[in-house]
Amino acid sequence: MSAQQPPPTTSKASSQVTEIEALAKAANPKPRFERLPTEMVRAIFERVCFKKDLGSLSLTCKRLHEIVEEFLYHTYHYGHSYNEWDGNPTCRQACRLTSCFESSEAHTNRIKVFRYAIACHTSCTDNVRRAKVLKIKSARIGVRFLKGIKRFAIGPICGSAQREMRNAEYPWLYYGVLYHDMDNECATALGYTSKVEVISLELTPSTDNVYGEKTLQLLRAASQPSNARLFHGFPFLKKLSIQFGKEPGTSATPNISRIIMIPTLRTLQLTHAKIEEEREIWGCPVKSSPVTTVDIIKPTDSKEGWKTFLASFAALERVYVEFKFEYPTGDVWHLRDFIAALYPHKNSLEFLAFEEGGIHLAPPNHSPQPTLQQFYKLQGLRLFSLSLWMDSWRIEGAPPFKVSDTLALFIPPTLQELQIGHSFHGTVERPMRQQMPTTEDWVSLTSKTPFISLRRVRVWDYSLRVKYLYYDWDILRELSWSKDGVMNSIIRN
Amino acid sequence: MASASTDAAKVIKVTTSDGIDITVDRQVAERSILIKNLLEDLGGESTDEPIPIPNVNEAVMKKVLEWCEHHKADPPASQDDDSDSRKKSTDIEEWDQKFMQVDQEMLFEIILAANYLDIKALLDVGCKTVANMIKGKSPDEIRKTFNIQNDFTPEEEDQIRRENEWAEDR
Repeated sequence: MSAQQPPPTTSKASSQVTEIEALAKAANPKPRFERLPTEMVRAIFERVCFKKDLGSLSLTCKRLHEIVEEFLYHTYHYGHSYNEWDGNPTCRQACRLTSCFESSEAHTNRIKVFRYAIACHTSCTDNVRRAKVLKIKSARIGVRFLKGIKRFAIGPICGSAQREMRNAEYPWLYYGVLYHDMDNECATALGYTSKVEVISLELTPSTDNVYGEKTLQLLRAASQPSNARLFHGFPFLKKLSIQFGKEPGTSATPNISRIIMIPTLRTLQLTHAKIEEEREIWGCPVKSSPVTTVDIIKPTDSKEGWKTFLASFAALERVYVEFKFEYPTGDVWHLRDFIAALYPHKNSLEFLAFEEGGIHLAPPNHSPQPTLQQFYKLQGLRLFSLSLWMDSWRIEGAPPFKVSDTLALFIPPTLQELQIGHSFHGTVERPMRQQMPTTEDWVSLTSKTPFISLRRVRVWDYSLRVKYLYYDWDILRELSWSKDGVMNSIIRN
Repeated sequence: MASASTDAAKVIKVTTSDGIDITVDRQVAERSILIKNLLEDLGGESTDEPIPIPNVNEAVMKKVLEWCEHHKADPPASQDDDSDSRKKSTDIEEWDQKFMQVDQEMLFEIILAANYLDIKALLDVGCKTVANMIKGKSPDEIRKTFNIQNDFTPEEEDQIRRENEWAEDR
């Protein structure tokens, strides 16, 4: 046994092949390859790199066909850069595969991983033009676990889609850049993902249209039973996130009135939406939407818009709203209008959160006084704001308002849990210590209406920090108190 | 420096399926994870006893050990050795290519032995060699190469051809 001993040469090997093959045939009618255990055949097929070769293997015999199918459809990974694009016939594969999906449902069931990527080194328009020439529907696409997919995201990874993705626990289907031709393909893919539970969609505004309109059309069709035979109709859709453009107010307003009527839909998250006043665009017949949780992030809103929109829901249980920063300082009128629009839900609303943004409570001597006191089901309240109790309301030299005085006019006596996030953004440090009750204060407050039901309080000072594409905050000071000793929040996020 | 027990364990014996004892450097034999684990279980005590390898005959064992000898100094298989990228590369180093120029019967025996003896790198080379034999061939050519009987009806063949159309360009 020596390493120096050279391996047999080619000529010798080939003569051996014919000799021994003849012998093997005589001794063993069944050829060696067919006698290999499946496990070994799989090990070999794993190392076959080309789809074409796998395709050829699938045509050799029934046994190999069965084994190879798994590999042929398991991973579809294809990518190349722009430079290779010109005249490369392989570019048509995505289309072929898509048409293959259409012709056989069995195929889509077999696919476990499907990635398709074309590097976008050049400008988008150039890629779109080239894609058109080559009859490619998408310039960038990533599809995973097509059939069992429960979450579906379209659009650049940012905003709500990114947040969703970070918390991803299900198989994801994700489409990258949304070109208008790709809209078709997204809609096609959605046609295959009947088990989808969460859809996250970022609409990209264009001059005369909104990319994503096809997907919206599909969603609109889902609420109409007459379409049941045409496609699956999203029988499991529970949550829908739509982001309207990168910045507030940059996207056109698509019609979502039918979408919010999808019978299974419970959670609706809208980012950068323009809350329209016309019911036929932005609302639906009064109390006909089954959605119980709404999460509205940086809307472009109006008094009438809120009224129409919020009246569309049968019974909201949880409302999260994050107003834009830009509201004029101390706009309690704005808050009052919003609460007035929320009134139809005063018998169902259990949790309300004013997230990061420009909400301001009125000082005790102010009129009108926005109040939640009629919301007798309300158990949890989160006030998360840059400037809850504005200094601008204060008379020079006067002590700041006690938070408890302001809250006494604001909260209902049913409230069990209160969370207050308080920031000193910018230059002014608000006198939290003077304004905010101490733990002892909270304890004594609970003997008085409307604090009588209060069991948990959490107050924290925070400062904003920009993390990659989203905000986060550092908690600076924190006060937490619980009547039961355990700080288990009744509020799930 | 080296302890007495390691000195004693420098050479080991294996018994092949056809009852032949082969003496081999322990370092060489330990390319096989199966043998390595067996030796570790024995604790270096009874290494005079030949290790029975009932699934591999002498001819194949010698061939496998030849490969192990050449690769004895290779770094041990890493955790991500199973990664797709490694499998997907068809590159085989020159020595291994020549080593694998054997008849098909032997080639498949080596693959089976490498699997049984748990020699990942050898299994990889063996499977890649077969994969390369498949590369670029038509279904008929593959059947001829491996002497596979076509058991499809023309209709079935047609159906599969249609289903596979998307894969044909590459």
